[in-house]
Amino acid sequence: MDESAAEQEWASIPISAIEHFGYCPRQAALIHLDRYFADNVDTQRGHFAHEVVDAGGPGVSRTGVRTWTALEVSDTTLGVHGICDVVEFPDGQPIPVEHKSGSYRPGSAADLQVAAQVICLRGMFSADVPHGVIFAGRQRRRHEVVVDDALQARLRDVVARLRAVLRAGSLPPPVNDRRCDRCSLKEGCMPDARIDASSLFVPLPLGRWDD
Amino acid sequence: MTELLRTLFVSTPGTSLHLEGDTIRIHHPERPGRHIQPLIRIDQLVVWRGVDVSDELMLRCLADDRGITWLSRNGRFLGRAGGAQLGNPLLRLEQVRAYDDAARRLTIAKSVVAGKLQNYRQLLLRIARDADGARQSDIRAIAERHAEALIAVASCGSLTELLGIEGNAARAYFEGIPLLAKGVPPGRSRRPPENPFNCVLSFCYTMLKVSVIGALEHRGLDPYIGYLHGVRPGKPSLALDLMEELRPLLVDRLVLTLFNRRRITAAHTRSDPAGGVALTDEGRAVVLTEWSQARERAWRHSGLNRDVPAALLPIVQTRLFARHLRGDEPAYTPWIAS
Repeated sequence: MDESAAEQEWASIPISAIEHFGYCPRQAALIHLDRYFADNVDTQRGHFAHEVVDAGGPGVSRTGVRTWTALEVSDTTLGVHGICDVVEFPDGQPIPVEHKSGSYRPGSAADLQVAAQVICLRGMFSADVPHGVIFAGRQRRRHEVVVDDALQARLRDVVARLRAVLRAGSLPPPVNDRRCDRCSLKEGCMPDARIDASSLFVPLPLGRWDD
Repeated sequence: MTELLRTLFVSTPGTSLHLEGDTIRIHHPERPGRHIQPLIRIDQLVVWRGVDVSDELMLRCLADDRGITWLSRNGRFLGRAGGAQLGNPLLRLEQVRAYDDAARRLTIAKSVVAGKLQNYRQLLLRIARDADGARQSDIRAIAERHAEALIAVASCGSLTELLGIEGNAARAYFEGIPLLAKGVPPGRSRRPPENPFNCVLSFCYTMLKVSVIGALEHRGLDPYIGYLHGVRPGKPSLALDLMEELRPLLVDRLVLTLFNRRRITAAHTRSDPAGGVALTDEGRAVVLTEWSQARERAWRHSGLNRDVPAALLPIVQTRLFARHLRGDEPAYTPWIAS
């Protein structure tokens, strides 16, 4: 494939795909290439946790900080776009607050996701935005993620690899490990499918299926 | 986790369906009371002409990817609404490329026929196991014809040749129908079906077709561009291709059982002056009840190494088919009962 529609399409990639890719490259491809999605308990919990922040528009937080929910952001240099759950403006400067229903693990894909949001906000508001925030629903705690050079370099690397997967247009092989047990896409991903066409034209004996 | 959901079939004319909160309210002037079905348990709606679906219900179904299919009073497919176009458009391009490539087209068509022959053979061998005497050896003889056909398919070099092999095997099967269902005349008749057996068979093929078309559209494939069945206006060829492997055990076996257990009797069908046979309203209700139950039955899927309910087999096979088209799998492997 040379300059196909697919390549132009992925000039900008959704920020949400970064976290999917961090979990499993095939999951990112299933969601963003195949447009396949399925829910399980974890994703449903996520939807419920997001109901408030998905409303969109201005508001004021409990601590009196001006906020905006479901803010669309993008950055053409990095080539990403997405929606920030909440952006707070404590001193007029934007800080993205990403809401997660589970617990926070430092160094995980959520860090990359919020870093991408920080980069977008820096460009769009011509502001410093030194950090973003991840709100972990399970512990009901905020975690500050400082977006330094090291994290930015990691982000650029992940975005480049993700873009390559999306441009290739085919599914990366399944990981078929413990990640699959909690993945809501397992059913459609079929990580353990054994495709064996060798006996297709050999008349098979009566199987064990029964009434 | 994909839950096994039900298809809501509504065939009684004069019925209207409404959205009420997260449920479907089913209303018929002659049926008192409030009848509701939770939307969350329903994966698609199949309604016959004369049933009214409210705009609000339709829009809600489209928003949730819950397909709605309309059928004529005789069960002919009229149309389907499925919300925004799903799936990856690159996949549809690949679907067309595979059609244009004679070698790829033949390879897929061969897989499709092999799946059909294998499963018809499974059905025949299963019935033969419980038969005896001449009837048993006659059924085994047809199964043997299917075995020979399979071997011929493996080395077959053209679509015409393939269609010939498939046609001969199908003829042998339908000529043997009296061996499989007592009192049923041999042969296959369609448009119109000339006896109750063929009538119920056609009706159930349509039900299967509805679910396969739904699975294909949901996956973003074009149901009208097929490989074995080619491309003809108004003919959902890819759905017909994928139905081949599913017909024997999901439809034929059910219909044979219905007749052998006398669940369908003369009162369930009626003939028209031209010799065509159609289901009565009561007959349709009986078949739909049995069909709905059969959809819940789990079948072993050797490729996935787990059980898959009949209702989900079209979805699973559509996914495997899409994977082959995109080059993620070297071949399309039909589901074969094991």
